[in-house]
Amino acid sequence: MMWTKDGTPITNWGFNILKVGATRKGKSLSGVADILAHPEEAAIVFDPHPDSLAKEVLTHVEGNVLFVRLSDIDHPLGFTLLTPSSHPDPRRRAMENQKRADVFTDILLHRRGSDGLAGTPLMEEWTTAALMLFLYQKLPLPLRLLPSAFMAGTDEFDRLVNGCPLGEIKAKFRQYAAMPPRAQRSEAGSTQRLFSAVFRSPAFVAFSGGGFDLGRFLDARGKLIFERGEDVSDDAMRVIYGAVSHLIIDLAKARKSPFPRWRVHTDEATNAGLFSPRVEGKALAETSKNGLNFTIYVQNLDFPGGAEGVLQNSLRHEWFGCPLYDLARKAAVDILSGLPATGESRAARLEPLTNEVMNLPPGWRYVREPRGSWKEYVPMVPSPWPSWPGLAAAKLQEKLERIWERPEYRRTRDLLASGDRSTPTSSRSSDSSASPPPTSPPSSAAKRWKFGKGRPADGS
Amino acid sequence: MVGIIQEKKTGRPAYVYGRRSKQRELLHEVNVGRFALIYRDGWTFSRDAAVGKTEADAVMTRGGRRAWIEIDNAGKQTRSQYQHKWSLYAGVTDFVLVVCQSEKRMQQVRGWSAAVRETALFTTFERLASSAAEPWIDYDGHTAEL
Repeated sequence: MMWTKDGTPITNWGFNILKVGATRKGKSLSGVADILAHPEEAAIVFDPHPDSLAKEVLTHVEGNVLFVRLSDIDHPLGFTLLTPSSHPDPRRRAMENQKRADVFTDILLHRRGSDGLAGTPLMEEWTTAALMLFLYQKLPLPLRLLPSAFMAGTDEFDRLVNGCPLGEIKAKFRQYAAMPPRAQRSEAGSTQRLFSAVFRSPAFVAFSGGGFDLGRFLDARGKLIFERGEDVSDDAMRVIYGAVSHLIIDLAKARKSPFPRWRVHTDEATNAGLFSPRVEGKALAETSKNGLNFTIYVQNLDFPGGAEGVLQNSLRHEWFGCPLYDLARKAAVDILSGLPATGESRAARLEPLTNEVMNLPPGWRYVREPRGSWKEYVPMVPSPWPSWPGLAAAKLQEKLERIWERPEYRRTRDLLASGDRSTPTSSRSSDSSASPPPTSPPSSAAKRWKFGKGRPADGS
Repeated sequence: MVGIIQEKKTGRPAYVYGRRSKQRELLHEVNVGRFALIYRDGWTFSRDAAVGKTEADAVMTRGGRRAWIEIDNAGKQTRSQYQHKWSLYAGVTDFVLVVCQSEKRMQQVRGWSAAVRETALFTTFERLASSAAEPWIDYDGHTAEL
């Protein structure tokens, strides 16, 4: 927080925001207004539902915009998800790989509603072991091989186990391979199903192939919009969003300057399991100084691990209509602390304020910031098109077609199209016919090397 | 010890320690190892190098970047053999690093490698041992350093 010479606080936009309110009370539209009001920020929008925040942002935002619909594997962006560390120091490499395994275990398990280790110790054990098996390889392997860690007897399983230098992990999976099928199912059946659901999902395969420079896009104040779409499982959606969120946090921490600011908008953070105390919760507390802030949209305060950390580390609370008394009461307590004092007692002010929060109409909110609390109306952002039947949908589709022509999508498609050919396979006698050469125009190999345009080793 | 090689026409032969291979392939194995020693800082090497429909001599990785290594040891492979080799690399977008024993041989192989002009870099052991800033050269004549 900064202050002017006369002591009044300078409220800038560099803080985390928590938006709480029941459905259809205007949280998402207020988020659109925020993004439009702050073009100097890069924005990343995670929307687990169709026809919600992502669609509204796409409708109104112009310029440097990329749109990702997880169910649309024809227009993927390749993110670098779950890659082994390549640090030259083996000890640092081991440390980084361990951390990545822990984070991905959290992304895979702890966002599914499991309250902690007590609920799923076996799944946690095998998840961590499989991730370690994948990350600790003599030669990086493509992510799509990860579910093969539970397919004993396959070439891919042998490749994973034989390529891992960690003795205890190898022994663990060799023991697993020696078990009868029934024992294998009881040991790791749940984990295998989870891994297959996530790492073999077409959405995950399409969006984890690498090739997209996320950091550079965000530093150019780009707006990256994620929408789940249809036919994408909860697990795949949570893992993709969680992994991208973690990637953004790592990129923010690694960049040299905190400007331009980046802001992650996470809609339905608690309902959709998109908030983890270990990842987003920790980032709320730590990444403001790296120029990364969060806007979290929730319907109630049932955050895993409690809401105290979120409330504490979000300097701006926006309370929309909350019909539930207990929640409205908490909101009233928060709001009251920022209202100017009157002659009335606190108790006398609290009850009417609670009632008011319970009955706030759509678009109205109470805002609590360090400079105080106030009530305001968020005007609807006018539609850029007349409300003629079918016009908005057609215009939106045109906009999407223009966005999909961007080179970022073409680059990812090229990598996916040529992907399997340059990936080491366990069988020498590959039966695949030669794939067509990349569609990008020929360029000098030396120039490509210098500018880092070679394909990453593990296909991500 | 897996064998003995005579690297030069005169002088003592050298003992070779390493993975088992045929006697006639020992010198090739030594040169693969020699190349790996040149780039031992920061690069991870593996001999398990299946790529496309063939197998490279080795593969090196660093920082998410991967390159397949082909050591032209005997200098006896013909144009058609190289063209067949490159056809087996079809679709591979990672870099291919070709190391030859002499400058003349390198230029010859480079001229046969239009099929991999976007991915292949060529050099010789002599260039690598020299102080040249960019000892690698591609099909189009542009140079680079790894």
